[in-house]
Amino acid sequence: MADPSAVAHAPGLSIAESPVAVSLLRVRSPDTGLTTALGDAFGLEWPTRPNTVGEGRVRAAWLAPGEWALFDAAEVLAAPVTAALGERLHHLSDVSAGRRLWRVEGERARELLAKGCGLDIHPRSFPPGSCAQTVLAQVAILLIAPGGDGAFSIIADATLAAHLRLWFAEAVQEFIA
Amino acid sequence: MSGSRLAEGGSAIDRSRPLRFTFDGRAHTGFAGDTLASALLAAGVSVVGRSFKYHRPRGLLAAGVEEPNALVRLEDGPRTDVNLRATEIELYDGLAAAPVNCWPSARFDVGAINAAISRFIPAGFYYKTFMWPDWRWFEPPIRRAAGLGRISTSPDPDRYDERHAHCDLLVVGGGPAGLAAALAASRRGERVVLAEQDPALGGAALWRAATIDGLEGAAWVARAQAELDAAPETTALVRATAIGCFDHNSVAVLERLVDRRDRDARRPRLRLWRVRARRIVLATGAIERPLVFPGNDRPGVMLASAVQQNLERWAALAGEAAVIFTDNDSAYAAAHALVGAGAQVVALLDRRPAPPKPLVEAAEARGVRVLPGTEVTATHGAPALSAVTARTRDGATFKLQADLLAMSGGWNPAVHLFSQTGGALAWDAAQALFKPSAMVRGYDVVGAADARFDLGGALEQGWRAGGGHGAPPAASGEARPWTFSAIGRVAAPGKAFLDFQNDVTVDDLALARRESFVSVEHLKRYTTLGMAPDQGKTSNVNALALMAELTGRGVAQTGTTRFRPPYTPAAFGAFGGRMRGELFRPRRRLPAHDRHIEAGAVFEEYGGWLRPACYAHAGATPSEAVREEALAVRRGVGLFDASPLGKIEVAGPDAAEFLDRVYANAMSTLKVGRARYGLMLNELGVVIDDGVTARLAEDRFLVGATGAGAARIAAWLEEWLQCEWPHLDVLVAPVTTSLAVLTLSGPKARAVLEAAGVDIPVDAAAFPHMAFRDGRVAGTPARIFRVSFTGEVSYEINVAADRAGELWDRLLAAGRPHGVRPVGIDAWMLLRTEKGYLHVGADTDGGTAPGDVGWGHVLKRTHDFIGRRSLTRPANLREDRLQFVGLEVVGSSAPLTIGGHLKGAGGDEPSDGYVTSSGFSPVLGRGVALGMVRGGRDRLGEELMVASGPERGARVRVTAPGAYDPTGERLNG
Amino acid sequence: MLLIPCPWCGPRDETEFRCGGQSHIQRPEPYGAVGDQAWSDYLFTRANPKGAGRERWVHAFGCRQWFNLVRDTRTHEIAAVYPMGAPPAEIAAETGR
Repeated sequence: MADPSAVAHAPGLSIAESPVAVSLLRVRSPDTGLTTALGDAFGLEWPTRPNTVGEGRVRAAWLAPGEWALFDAAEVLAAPVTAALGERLHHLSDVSAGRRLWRVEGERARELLAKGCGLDIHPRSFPPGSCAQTVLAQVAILLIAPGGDGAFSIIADATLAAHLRLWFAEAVQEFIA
Repeated sequence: MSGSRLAEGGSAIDRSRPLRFTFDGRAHTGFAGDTLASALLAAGVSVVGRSFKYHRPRGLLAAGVEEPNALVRLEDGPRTDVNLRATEIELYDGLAAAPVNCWPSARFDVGAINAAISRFIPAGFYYKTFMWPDWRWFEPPIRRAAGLGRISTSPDPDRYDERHAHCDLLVVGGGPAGLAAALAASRRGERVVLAEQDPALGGAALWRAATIDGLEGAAWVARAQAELDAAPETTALVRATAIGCFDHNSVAVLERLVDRRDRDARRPRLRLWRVRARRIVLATGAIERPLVFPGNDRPGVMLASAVQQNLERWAALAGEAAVIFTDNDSAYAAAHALVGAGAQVVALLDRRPAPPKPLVEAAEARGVRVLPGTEVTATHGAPALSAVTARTRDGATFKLQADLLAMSGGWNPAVHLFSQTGGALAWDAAQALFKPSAMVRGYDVVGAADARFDLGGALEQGWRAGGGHGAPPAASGEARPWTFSAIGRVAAPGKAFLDFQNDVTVDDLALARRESFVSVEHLKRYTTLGMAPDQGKTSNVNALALMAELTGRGVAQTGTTRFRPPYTPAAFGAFGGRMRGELFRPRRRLPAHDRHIEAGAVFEEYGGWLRPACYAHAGATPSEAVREEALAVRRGVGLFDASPLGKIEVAGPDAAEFLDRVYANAMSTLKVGRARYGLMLNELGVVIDDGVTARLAEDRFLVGATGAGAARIAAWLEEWLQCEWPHLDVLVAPVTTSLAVLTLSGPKARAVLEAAGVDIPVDAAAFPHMAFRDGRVAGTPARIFRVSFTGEVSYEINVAADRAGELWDRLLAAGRPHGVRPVGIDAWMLLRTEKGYLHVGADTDGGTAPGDVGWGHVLKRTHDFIGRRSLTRPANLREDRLQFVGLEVVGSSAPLTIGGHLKGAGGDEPSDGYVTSSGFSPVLGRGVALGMVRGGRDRLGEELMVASGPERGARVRVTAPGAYDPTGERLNG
Repeated sequence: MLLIPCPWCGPRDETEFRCGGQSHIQRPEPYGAVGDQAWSDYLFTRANPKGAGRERWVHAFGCRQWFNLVRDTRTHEIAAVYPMGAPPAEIAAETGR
């Protein structure tokens, strides 16, 4: 992936934007056998609990019953997914070209996001390993809680990237002073 | 009144930092920590404004948010703010303020003429007087004369912040009860937000004598504040007013961040906190009631608590010679404070015949003459108070010289927020006040807001509500709790004001009673009592008590109005937050947005997307550019960015069955590799979207939706699958924004595609119209559709969105020898209008059925589909429905205006239809138009008259849709 | 603003949802056997209760799942949330508020 570009900086805060490799996997009525097979295929405990993330050979985020975001290109994922799911109806689509990723980190990251996102992102409610589809600055996003890297990940539609970029630049002003 | 600054004291002010300011054009000085109100009082300014209706001179009444008189305009120019209460404005150097309701000044006000004719403008005056011939004649001048203040019309230069917060406990009010609640919860490790509207925490402990946990009040508050500030999960906000309580424990808190001069432009001026709390403690305190007697609005008449607060916090002495007038215990403290400040207390008039003895004795011990059973019947002095007339129980009257009258009519719990939550209020006759009765889930009301006027009780209540274990903070050395008596007005002639801000008097209420406006809600609207910024903070209960007296019903039966947000006025900017200008609303940008900028695109918003309307270039107006672009497609080739087109993959064994149900036409008969145009209806049988759907495999389709419908249709498919047909084995995967679509259209489209490099055969035989192929274009993996929106040979090239810019460059380069032109939406729409192609949403509306647009054949299907049953309702079978037709202007080449109504020779209908699409066709050299005409398909050839709009009177001929290449032979080339 | 308990994602702000109106409305079929009145009732006739009513909502800005909930139209109190396809939830007796 190309180098991330800085969107905005302020003391205690950095925001960088980059392309992201992400594919969406959809399965009809997933059962335990199926999710176990997927977990085995990618070496992780498959996120079957809503709004959680699993990490292994791929990072998988729960989006909806039977729907996950897998952070890699579909052409990489296709073989193991097909091997795990066999004849079961599924749909894998590479949406990398239509999404962007923002990493927001620093001690003021939560405060910044709270300016445009109504979700409770306190670690007590949104611990590491959590994800959520929600809204930031009127834009639908997938938000992933900071893990070891200490950064919130935000995935949003590339067609709305300019809006989010502008919003970030505006929202950090208070911290720059 | 002759206010002054004491030589010493004032817990809030910093005498080492004098500040200059102007009020009403005159220069004054104050200190850091002053409010504008305290600085004015200390500067001896007695008249701070004029009343709303009668323009009577008014002085400060209160010391907090309840101040009804001192409404000011702050600053000039774009940062002008109006109707701010002087009691809430923190002084800064260079502040410039002026009263809002007077001209040229508060001291000499032309509008005061209204006072002279005041007996002719009672409550309801406007409603009764300006009825004939029509209120609308009178409304504009009356509106101009009414209202308070003038806002700036320039853009607001300030920033406004918005902040979501979640907590276990939200405490509203930072007085002793609120602090006790916050401390209790904070010590349990809970997430706590405390919101105090004042610049300082402490509430009444800032000005009432108190000892808590052995500390003097202010010291205890400082210790509590330090503890809260140190708690990692606790946020204690000052200058933060909870302005509204909403559903499911959400509360709006407005925080004031910077004053006007001392600011960095990056910092927001206001921050709107949207707080969601598990529990909410309302510790909002109480507001002192004025007494109702003639002349109670004269400058120099103040609430006793305001007099006391001004002394304690700002060392501002409101007058040299004071009379105190009360019907309860609380004002005795003001007498002590005044004596302590060296002022003369002329007398303390207590309406009660037998005030509590210890209070009387304590006052008399300090030289205050207490006159039980005595009341004020008139005030004197112009513009400010110089004397009062008092009357004893036996009717004897006498005059007292005084420049200050400190009054107290008891206290009202500040139940506004509680009332907003839906909480019920009950009349407490013993204390003569409304207080919370049935609790609302998730809420506790503590302290004076719950009519607990003893400090110890308030602390304990707060502590328990915060979940505190063990002993609550303890109050000691407190005087006996206050007692209140019933509310009563002084019966004497003269204007006695209930609502100072809206100029509502006892007489107005009596008039409302005579005219039967006795319900509290009617009363409020008829007299304007309790309306506007004030929301009845000082007036409501007095007025309700009076109405109860007038109707003989009792206060409990009279009831109270529901309080509404905001508790105090809030600037509109705060609600807009960052959502202004470019950030007002997200607009999608095309993947090749920068290429369009380079090509000179003039952007417009279509269905949430910023798209090129046309491409401007030197030497052409926008409409010339549109014609050039349209001609390029007809005669050569154009390149159009169609990326917003909705693209939804539908996969699964039941995919064909599912699409057969959601489309009005069949999709299961579509062959793999082919595409078909389809219409979607809603259950009312109304056309909601159209598009081209391709069959990628037996069990896999790509559904095409309009650009504006992309997200809506994906959600629509999900809704039907989840709610109605969950047994269908189908997956829906929207992929719209992952793909870019660049369309080559025109007789030379194939040549350009080949020049750009394509690895599959694209000739008409190998790749016919309504087919699609996968291949590579200019080296990029692509799926190419042969569909056409223009009537010319077209190739819609779908590539990964991040390859759009590169492909755009390659196609333009390859097309240059062929004269390729980028084509914007305007030309694209013109081309399809020439062809008579339907545009859902432009030619159709919320009543258009498939039969109206020439799709009556869908009823021949035996399969059910969404909306099918509606198509055979009687209304859908009528022959005089509006039908989609072409329109040709007779004897003119000028285009018609969209929306113009059409009328035939006969018939009773006022309109026979209207123009839905129109433009000037450069290839035909005349206007082309489409429209919906009543029974239109049977009226081909008939001439109609344009019945509205600029072409009114013009004649148009009804034709079949499609003025250009009606047989469609160009398409298959 | 309501706080709506999505059965999958938990409590979220009302702005993430869209209300689809009354739930448990049976679509009459087959179309050839449905009279005008029955079809009109299906399209337009709604209970509009003053009190608890069953509605269907979708978590539009979240998991995009439809579900049923029981909401009191006077107080906005949400008494129950349950999946699409489940039988209609019992509604507690009127409180007579």
